[in-house]
Amino acid sequence: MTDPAALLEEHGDYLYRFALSRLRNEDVAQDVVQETLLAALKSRPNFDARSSERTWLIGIMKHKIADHYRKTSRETPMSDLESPDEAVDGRFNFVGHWRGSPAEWSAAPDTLVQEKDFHRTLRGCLDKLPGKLADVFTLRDMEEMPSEEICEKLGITPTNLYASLHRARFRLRECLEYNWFGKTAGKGSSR
Amino acid sequence: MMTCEKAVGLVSEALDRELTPSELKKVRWHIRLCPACFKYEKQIQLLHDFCVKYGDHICDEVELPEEARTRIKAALESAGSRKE
Repeated sequence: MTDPAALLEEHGDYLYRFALSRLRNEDVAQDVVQETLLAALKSRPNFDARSSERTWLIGIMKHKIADHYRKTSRETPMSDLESPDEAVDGRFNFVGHWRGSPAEWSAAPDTLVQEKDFHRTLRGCLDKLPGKLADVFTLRDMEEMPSEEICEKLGITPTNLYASLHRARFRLRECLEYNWFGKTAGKGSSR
Repeated sequence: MMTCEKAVGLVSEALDRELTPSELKKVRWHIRLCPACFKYEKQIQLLHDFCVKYGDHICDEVELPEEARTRIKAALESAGSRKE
């Protein structure tokens, strides 16, 4: 049996990175790493040696992360969706056409992943989103959780979910255009 | 014709639910004729594809801070000794 210190030594950074990518808050991510390892120690006898230790730990961590989302979701209801979103609405004129077209840029995910600065920029853009929008985006576009499951977990309607995801993606696209693609001509942007 | 504002909403929703045949027809038609929404759709798709494939790695250069490591280690040891 692995001792707790070895478990932390071997998987601590990996678990922390995973938690931080989902929760975007260092303190909360550190707490979740701790809760995950404590739960792992408790359920150690149930560890199925056919799966890797890391897969097993990530499985436990995903439950802890879902618990966190559920908890914060109860604490902060999704009322901000009832008001118009200036960041989106302001980009269209009174007949619903773009006030200014999105800039011309494109890139391949496999190329972008090599750019460490892009990861930082994306993290920064996610941090700028209102918490709830970042949560639904993370669950849907990173975790690939089915829409119905997100609605159930967060206690929101499908209409609310679709509207939040639209707002999140719209704002992220703008933020990346401004902070990355617009500044990196020759690195995947033609602007 | 569908407005750009409506079209970009459906571009996003298409990633989360199956659009009705009528919605799909209208949004495809709009995008064929609108270079701005054409670009928007490609870029949203890129963002989605990147996050699905590499979302787990956006914090790869980050390390668990030493003080958190010490704190967690102490909590694990304390839980372990209680168990014994």
